[in-house]
Amino acid sequence: MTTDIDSEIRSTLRRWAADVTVGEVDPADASLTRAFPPADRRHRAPLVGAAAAIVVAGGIVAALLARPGPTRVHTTGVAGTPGAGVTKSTVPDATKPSVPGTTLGQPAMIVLSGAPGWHLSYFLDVPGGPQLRYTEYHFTNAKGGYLQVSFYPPGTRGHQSLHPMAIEVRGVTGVLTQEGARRYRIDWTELGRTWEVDGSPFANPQALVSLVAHLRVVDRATWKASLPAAASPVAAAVTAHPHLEVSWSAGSPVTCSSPPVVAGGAAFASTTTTSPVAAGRRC
Amino acid sequence: MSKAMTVIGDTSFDALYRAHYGSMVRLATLLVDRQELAEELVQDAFARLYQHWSKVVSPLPYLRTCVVHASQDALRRRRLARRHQGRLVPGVVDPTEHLRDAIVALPARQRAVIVLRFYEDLTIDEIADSLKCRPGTVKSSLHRALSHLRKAIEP
Repeated sequence: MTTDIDSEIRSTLRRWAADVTVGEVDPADASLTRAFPPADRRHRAPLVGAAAAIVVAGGIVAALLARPGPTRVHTTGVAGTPGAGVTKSTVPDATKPSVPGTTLGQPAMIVLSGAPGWHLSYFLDVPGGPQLRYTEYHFTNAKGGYLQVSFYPPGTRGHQSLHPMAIEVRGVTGVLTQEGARRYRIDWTELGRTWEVDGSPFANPQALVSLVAHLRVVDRATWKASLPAAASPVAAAVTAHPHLEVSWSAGSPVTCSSPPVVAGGAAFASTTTTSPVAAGRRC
Repeated sequence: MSKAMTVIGDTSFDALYRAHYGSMVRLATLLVDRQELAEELVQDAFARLYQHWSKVVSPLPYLRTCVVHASQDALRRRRLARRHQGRLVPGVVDPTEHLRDAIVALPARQRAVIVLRFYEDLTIDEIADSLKCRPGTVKSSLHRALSHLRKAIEP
């Protein structure tokens, strides 16, 4: 029995992996990583490591994370793209509201308005206090368009890109990365949160920026009214269950579950989850 | 597969990227289902590897560990497994598809253990290194996962 199930699992996984079609890797993708020369890192590493061990204390790190400082944007990425070949330092304005008089709520409440054909297909809200709360929206259209909008604590994204470039988005400077053919990701800080959009397929980054301009921060009543009928329980669920993870995807009911408990409390840094998520249930 | 590969220099990083990007995307896809998400996780893993290039002695195990951890975090956060579990249809005829659904429905750690054991062909100790847990934990996770899968494919 053991051997049977072993081989069955093995063959199932092999077939499954074979179904995954990975496009040819463009050598340029790898060479773009030279925006951060490893040789420099090799020379700096011992000093940086020693200094960090002495200087960095938990309180200082927490303070720095809570107050994002200047973001150095390396723009030695794709030739011919905006800002290529230039290194630019920017200080995104964390408090600038995109809509006067409106603030980013809990959860982050946005709508994609004035973009015909696009509709909400997925929503996720993970509680954890104002600094850790994570909200995610997926918008899709009939042409295969995909836009993911995620809200992270400030300063937690935008530093991990292989070849970041500066780009103007919603009146501030964001960090653009090309994730694949006609697929782009932009991070920026707005209303005290890190916004991240990941969209495909888009002819160029500006097409994504144009769509992102249609994202509006709204009040709870407007947000609730904007939800698709099937997702309408989301609004009540996030209020009734502020400590539960609430999610909805097109074709599925709204579900609630306990959020993951993460060591150190840094839910979206590279940490290890210490306990599994409790089973989801309708809510 | 080289278990302790040491590469030095930017060109070697490029070579590693070209050689293993596809296999890492396949591994991540088995762990999180969505190839789009898998590609993102693998890109982030390579970026992380690049940042620590000077300190990493064995890039491939390091990369695999990054991919597995990121996949587990993503899986737990998005609860993809649970959503797929909701789509299971009783009485599915094709036992292969049933098994695949059952793997998807496993908790994140059990699923990682199954994939690393039966797809990556890692030993218990290697899996423990990748998951940063004890070999005994791997064994118990494997045992529980196999029990679930046996029940799932029983007629």
